[in-house]
Amino acid sequence: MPGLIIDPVFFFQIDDEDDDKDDVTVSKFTSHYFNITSASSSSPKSTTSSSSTATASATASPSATGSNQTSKSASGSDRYGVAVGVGVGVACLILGLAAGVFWYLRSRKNVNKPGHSMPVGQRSNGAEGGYPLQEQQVHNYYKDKSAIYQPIPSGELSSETGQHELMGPEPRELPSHTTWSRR
Amino acid sequence: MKNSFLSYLYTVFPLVLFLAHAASAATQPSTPNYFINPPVSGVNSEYDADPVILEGSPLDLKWNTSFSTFSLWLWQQNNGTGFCLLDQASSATYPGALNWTVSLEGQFDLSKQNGRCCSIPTD
Repeated sequence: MPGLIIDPVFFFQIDDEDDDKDDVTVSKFTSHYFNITSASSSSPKSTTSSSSTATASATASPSATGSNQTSKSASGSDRYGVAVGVGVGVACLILGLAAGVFWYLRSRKNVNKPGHSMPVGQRSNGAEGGYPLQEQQVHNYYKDKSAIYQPIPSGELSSETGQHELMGPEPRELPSHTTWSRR
Repeated sequence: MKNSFLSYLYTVFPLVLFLAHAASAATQPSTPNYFINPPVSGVNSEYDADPVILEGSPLDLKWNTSFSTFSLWLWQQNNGTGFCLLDQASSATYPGALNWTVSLEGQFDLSKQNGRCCSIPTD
């Protein structure tokens, strides 16, 4: 009956002797299969010996079957994993830098655009509305920002003073000449 | 603007570093025990990428292991025959390398095919 024959293949195996106290070797690892060709042979015996059909039908001996291949494969899938890992790393780096540049440019654009800062409290102190803001006004806005976002007083009496504790700036009194009119 | 850019750096840059580290870690062997030469083991019973070495030529065996005491065996696949090159060796004595002259060690026979025959359908 015609058939394909696998040439002799060899592999190295290292056993952990510290883990061999019960005559059961638990930890071991093997090398890649390799072929040995005789120096006296005129033609290499096993360079193209194996085919997918032959390897699919090959059954390992107990010694070979029992060898745990704990190491990663360096052929095929390992090279693919290296390529994927390097690709993902480079892609993440490029995306991160691109996002940073985009963020930076967008922030600069927003600063230069009129109306970026809200003139909070501008009308209540009598200043003229409109833009652009004066530098001092922007500074006061950020300076007074903490006071603006204070919680609304709940109206509870203070246990010590017996008075309402108002948080934030004192309410301003409107000038006597202020008149309200609907547009 | 400056603060927002700094907050971006503090948020995104560690993430980029983590992903880069994870990608580089994926390329490293997952265990400290592996052969370097001959290469690390491939798929079991897959012989397509087998290197061919010449009998009588020198071969620099290299490996990396965390075992303090180990044995190095040469096995012939499907034959159940093994030869012990190093027995109860210490990592201090053999720190991951051995110069070995390729030999059948009197144990192996190249003319003895160890593979199984598989039938090919003949019409």
